[in-house]
Amino acid sequence: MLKYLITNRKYRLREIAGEYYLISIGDEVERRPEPIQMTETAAWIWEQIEDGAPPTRLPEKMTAEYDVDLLQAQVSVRQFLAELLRQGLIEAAEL
Amino acid sequence: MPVIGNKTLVHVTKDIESVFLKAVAAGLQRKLIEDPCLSPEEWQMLLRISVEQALLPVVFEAVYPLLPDKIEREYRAVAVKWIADQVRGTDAFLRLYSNLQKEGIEPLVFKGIVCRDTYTLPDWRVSSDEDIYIPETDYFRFHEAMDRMGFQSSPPNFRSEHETVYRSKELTVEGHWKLFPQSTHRWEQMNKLADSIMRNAHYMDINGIEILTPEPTDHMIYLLLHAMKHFSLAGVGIRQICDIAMWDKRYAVDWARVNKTMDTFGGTRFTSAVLDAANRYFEMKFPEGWIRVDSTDLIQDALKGGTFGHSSEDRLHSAYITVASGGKRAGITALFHAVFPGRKVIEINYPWVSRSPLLLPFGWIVRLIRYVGNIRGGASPIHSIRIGKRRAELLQEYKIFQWEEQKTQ
Repeated sequence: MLKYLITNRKYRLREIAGEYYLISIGDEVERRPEPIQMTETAAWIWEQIEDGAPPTRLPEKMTAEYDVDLLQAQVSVRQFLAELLRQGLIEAAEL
Repeated sequence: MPVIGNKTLVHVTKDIESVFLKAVAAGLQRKLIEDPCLSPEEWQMLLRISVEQALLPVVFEAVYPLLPDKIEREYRAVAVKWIADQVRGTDAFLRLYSNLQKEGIEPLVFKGIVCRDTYTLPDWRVSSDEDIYIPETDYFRFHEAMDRMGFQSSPPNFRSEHETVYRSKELTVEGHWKLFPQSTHRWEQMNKLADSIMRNAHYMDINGIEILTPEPTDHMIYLLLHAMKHFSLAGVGIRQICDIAMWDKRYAVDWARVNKTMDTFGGTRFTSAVLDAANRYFEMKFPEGWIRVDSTDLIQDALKGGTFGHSSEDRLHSAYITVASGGKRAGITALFHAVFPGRKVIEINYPWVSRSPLLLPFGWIVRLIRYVGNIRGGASPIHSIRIGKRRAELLQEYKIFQWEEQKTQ
């Protein structure tokens, strides 16, 4: 089965005055009342996942979007996805 | 007169108000303003006005790179909190609406979320509650549903009120069975618009939920009448003018029909001034066929008043005096009439007075106690009279001074 990722629907991403924040909604507010600040690339990865981009394509897409080489992009994406999974902000699903 | 540098406080305030209006206009389009070279104290003043006008997120978006670090951090935290609360409020309202629909209840939604949808950055247009309308005949079903869903509220008082407030941990809803208060003949006339607004209502999609809302021209008429109501009491806010400008930019409004309806309620001059302000400051096209009325005094009043003219206890209390003045008396006499109005006016707020004419003095006493409470809460009677007098003059300027006739007169 091909794996893909989905964002936790209890969060909304907003760019507020040049900075990015994940905002919890509904019953998630009690667990995480404070908005989570993200870097621009982290917000970009979040948006890619929201749009349904396969995780394997993300490093390559990142090199087209930002001034990074493929190796750097692979490391960044892997680290960030691991952190999001650990925090329950994204989850793996099967097609 | 306090002096800052070479300028008096009045000049500094006017400069800052002008920068504030530019920042609102830029923020509405997610643009930055040119550096107005303000001092830290002046930035603080500007941001305080933005807070009073409930426009901090919009203004912050337009000025954040220009702010001194400490002020930027302080107000960023507030702006982020306001936006986060709004994101959560919108989500909670749409869930509520969807649940009501499942029970076969479809309230008409107006102002808040409906206006928000016309903004470039919807969640930046914050509101403390959402407004819905359900005709009185169907209202109790809605009230019971809200009760079942865990909202706290008072029982609806159909006789003298026009709304009741529902509160939950994550959302406040104002439930209206009348669009306007029942306290004056003119507002009662406006309430008659509700039937045709309901007949013309249509659905709009917000985040995947179909909500019932007035059609665009009806909603514009409602926004203008609502602004006129606030203007006749304590004052219209800059955000209300933004809502009108943004609504016109999004929808094709039938301005000939707006003119005809506003004329019925003696509101064309006021409306024309609002449109002048929306055109001058927020790039709304001034509608054809309307005679422009200068909005300088309206804007000055709005800048001093906060969101709905509620910027200070004095100003809030001045509303009693402005209303009592009917645009004519605005001094000690108006103050007397504000505290000791006729029986029917007292009955609106204290329905128990209607049981016997002998209860009228007790109604006055309760009103007097509330008035004294306002003074203890920070209102100064002299300042309130001064504001009330100025506001009564404004009602005359925009020819809506007869508008607040009490039912007794």
